Amino acid sequence: MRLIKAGRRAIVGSIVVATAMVGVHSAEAVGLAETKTVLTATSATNPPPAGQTVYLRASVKPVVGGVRLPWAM
Amino acid sequence: MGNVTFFDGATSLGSAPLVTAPSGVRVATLQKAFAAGTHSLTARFPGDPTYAVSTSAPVSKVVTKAASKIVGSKTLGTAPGTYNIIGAVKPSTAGPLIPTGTVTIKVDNLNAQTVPLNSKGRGHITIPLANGSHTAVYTYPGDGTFLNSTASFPFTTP
Repeated sequence: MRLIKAGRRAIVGSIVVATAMVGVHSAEAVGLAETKTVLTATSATNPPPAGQTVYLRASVKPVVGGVRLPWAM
Repeated sequence: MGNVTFFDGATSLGSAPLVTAPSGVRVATLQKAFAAGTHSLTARFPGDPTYAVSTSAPVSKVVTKAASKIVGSKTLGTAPGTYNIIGAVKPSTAGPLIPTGTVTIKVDNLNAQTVPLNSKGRGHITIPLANGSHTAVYTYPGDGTFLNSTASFPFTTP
């Protein structure tokens, strides 16, 4: 009888832990979308001489598995 | 939408706001002039409550030394019969950087003197000169940012 009760407690405990883990993973997945930042640096001449303006452009995109997503509103 | 911070190595170059381009992509831009050398540039999006932080792959940008030029001039010295012979070292094309180091000034092929450039890139010597035609020759050896240059400045006194 004791063995059965202990087994039941173990099963219930496992379910609770598993549920909690699923909950944590779900929160992470929903909370933050991955992003990818790409930088380009251009100038009037290449290579530019010192003092010439270099134009830095960073583009940021939400991505999941390498697929670009639209920004959330 | 937040900002993107640009870096040269570990040094921050500044931040710029993200704006939505016509293509729908969010972009941030920054204009910067660099000293000569190789620069490892990155951009970092710090993230927000919805989107995670991300840093770009580094972009290597080689910047060469810029050409310089020397503009000669003269003014009267404080002592009678003396003149200030001035050499202003400048970038050949307009830019925010100022040449540093020294300039060597030689008048009528005599007594070359090397003097430091001030914060405006100017150096001068003060010498006595007889009335007549003279020529100042300038030599700038260059620095970490600018290439060397020479110039000649013919003038008359008084």
